[in-house]
Amino acid sequence: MHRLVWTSLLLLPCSMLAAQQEGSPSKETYTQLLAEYKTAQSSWMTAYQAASGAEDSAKIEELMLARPEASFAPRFLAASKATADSDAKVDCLLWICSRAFQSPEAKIALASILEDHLDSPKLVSVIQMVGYIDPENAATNFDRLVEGSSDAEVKAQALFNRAAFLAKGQSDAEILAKAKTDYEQVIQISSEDRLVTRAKGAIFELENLSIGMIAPDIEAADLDGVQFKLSDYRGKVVMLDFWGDW
Amino acid sequence: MYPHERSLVKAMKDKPFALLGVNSDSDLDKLRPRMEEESITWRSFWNGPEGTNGPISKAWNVSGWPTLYLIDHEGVIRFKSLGFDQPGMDAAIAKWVPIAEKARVEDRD
Repeated sequence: MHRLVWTSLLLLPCSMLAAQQEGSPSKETYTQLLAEYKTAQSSWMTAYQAASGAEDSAKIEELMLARPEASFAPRFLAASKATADSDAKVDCLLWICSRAFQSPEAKIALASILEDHLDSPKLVSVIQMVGYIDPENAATNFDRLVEGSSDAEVKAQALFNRAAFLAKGQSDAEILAKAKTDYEQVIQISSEDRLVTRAKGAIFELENLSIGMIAPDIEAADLDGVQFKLSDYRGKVVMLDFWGDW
Repeated sequence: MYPHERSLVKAMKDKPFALLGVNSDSDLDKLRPRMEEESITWRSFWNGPEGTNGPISKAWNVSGWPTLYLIDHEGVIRFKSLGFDQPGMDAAIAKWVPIAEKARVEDRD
């Protein structure tokens, strides 16, 4: 059973390649592909759980290298090219960017979205993947989304993610000020309460918890009920770990 | 993350370094046996009965667990990461603990 799953997944890209070489456009639609992917994904999961239950590390490794997303990415890409329906094109490209963001097709899909579908309101869901898909061009790509989209929520998501990307690990005041401006714009244009709350929290964090700032003191009880303060540890380097056992 | 923290605490035993937690488990009775099991000996603030919605994580705008900060001997934030960025944290500890040691020696002189 495991062998079967493995073999059929391996064969998929080969058959796609053959179809492309013959020049016959893919007739697979987004809906069909999605249904087929769900079946493949659930067989993969069954095989993975069996291998993991049996602690068969060779099999686990084999399965990790044959995740269905990798073989479906080229098929979704082919389907996006084959269809004339702009909505279906976007659905195919977004699937690749969110489900197969580590595949080589993801960069192609992202480039195609930014080139031809910048105005789609559906892009909201993919913006948080932009930095993972193409880290080298993340800043430029966020700029294109911010400037190019006419959809308020897409723009707001792009602004939020651009700000987070800019501020990460930063202590440079000018860059942090730029991130703050982005967050302020999110608060102005977004109607999503959750995003607005996150933007307000992010501004608070920029102003109080950035690298180079004095950490706000904490005064609370420890797990035995004994009151203490973070500042009791001055003179020592403190690694503060927000953790939970879950 | 626990094994790394255990070895960190051990390696830094005689250094000016402390690992402090802000624990966001709402049920401490469930947590205690787990701490014993995992040999979690370092001290933690408790984020209170509201768990991840507690006052400390709110005041620090924590949106994901774990979130880590490295604070130097003068109370200045030197590194932070959402999720456990082990190479980044290790590098920050390697940079700032010797600086704290040096400051401690100078204080004594």
